[in-house]
Amino acid sequence: MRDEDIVELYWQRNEQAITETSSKYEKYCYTISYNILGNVEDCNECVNDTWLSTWNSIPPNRPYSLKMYVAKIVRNLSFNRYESMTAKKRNNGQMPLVLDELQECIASDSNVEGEVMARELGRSINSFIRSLPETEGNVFIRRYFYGEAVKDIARRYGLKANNVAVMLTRCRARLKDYLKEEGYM
Amino acid sequence: MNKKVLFESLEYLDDDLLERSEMKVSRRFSLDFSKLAYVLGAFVIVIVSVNLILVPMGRKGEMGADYMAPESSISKEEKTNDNEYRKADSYMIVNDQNGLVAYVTNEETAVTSDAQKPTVYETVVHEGVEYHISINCSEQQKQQAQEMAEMIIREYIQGNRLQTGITEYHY
Repeated sequence: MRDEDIVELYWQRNEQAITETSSKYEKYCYTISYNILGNVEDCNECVNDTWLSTWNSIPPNRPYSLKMYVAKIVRNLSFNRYESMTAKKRNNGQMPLVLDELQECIASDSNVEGEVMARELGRSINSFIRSLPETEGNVFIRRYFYGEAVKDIARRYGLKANNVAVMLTRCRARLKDYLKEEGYM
Repeated sequence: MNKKVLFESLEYLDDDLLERSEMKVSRRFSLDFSKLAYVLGAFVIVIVSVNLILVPMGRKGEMGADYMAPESSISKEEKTNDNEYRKADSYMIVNDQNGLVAYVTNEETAVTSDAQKPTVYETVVHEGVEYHISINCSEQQKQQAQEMAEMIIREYIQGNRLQTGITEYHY
C-alpha cells in the first residue's frame, strides 16, 4: 500500500493503518532503533511504541513522507530510552560513539539547551548539510541521524570505511566552523 | 548546547535529505556502468556519424564520388571473379592405358608431387593463363609421362578442351 493511502487510513481512524505501517516499516524502524540501543528487547518496545505515537499524532499531522515520519519517531523514542539506559549503564549501540563525535562540534561552555534550541539548530544543520557535497551530506546523515556504524555506511555507498571516517572528521570540523559562524558557540 | 541537543536537533532535518541518504550505491557497479555508458556513447556516435554524414555524402554530394569509388571497384572485382575462379581450376587427366594420372592446375601451389616417385613437371602459358602439369610415375614410366604431359598441353590446354571446375578426364 502507498504511504498516502496509509496516512489516509490514519485520518479515517482505521486501525488497519497500524497494521499496514508495521508490515511496511517494521524492519526499517527496528534497524534505526537497534543502531541507537543495540538491544533487541528495548528495540522491540521502541518500535511498538512508534506505532502508537504515529496513531496518536496522525491526525492532526499529515506527513509528506510516512517513512521519514516514523523514522523520526522511532529515533526519538530510542534516544529517550537510551538516556534512561545510560542512567542504568547498559548500552551496546552506536550512541556513545556518535555522541562523543558530536561533542567535537560544540563548545563545552554553552548552557543554552532545550527543544527550541534543537529546532533552531536543526534548521541550521539542514542548511549545513545542503552546502556539503551530496555523498558527504548523506554520510553525515547516516551516521548522526540513523546512528549507523561506519562500516555499514561504507558498504551502503560503496566506499572504504577509512574514507567514510575521514569524511566524517572533515564534516565535523566544518560543522564546528559553521555553528561558530551561526552564533551557536 | 550539549551533544544531546545536537543529536536531537537532527530530528528536524528535512525529509528530502533523509530520503536522499536512503539510496544505496555500489561503487563497483556504478563505475562499470559509467564505463559501459562511455563505450555505448562512443559506439552510438560512430554509428550516427557514418549514417548521417558519410552515407548521405556518398549518395548525393560530389564528394560522395570519392566515397562511392571503393564500392564500384569492389563490384569490378566481383565481375572479374569468374577469371579468378577459372585460374584456380584443377583437372585430373587419367591415361587408362598405362594408369598414369596427370594433375593440371592453374595455381602453382596446388601442384602435387610425391617424394617417393619421380615427377614429370611441365608449365605452359595459354591465352594468358599459366597451367602446371605434374605426373607421378616410376623410373620406367618417365618417358610415357613426358609424352603424356606434351599431349595434355597440345590436346587439352591448347585445344581448349579443359572445362571450368575440377574435372576428371579419361582417355
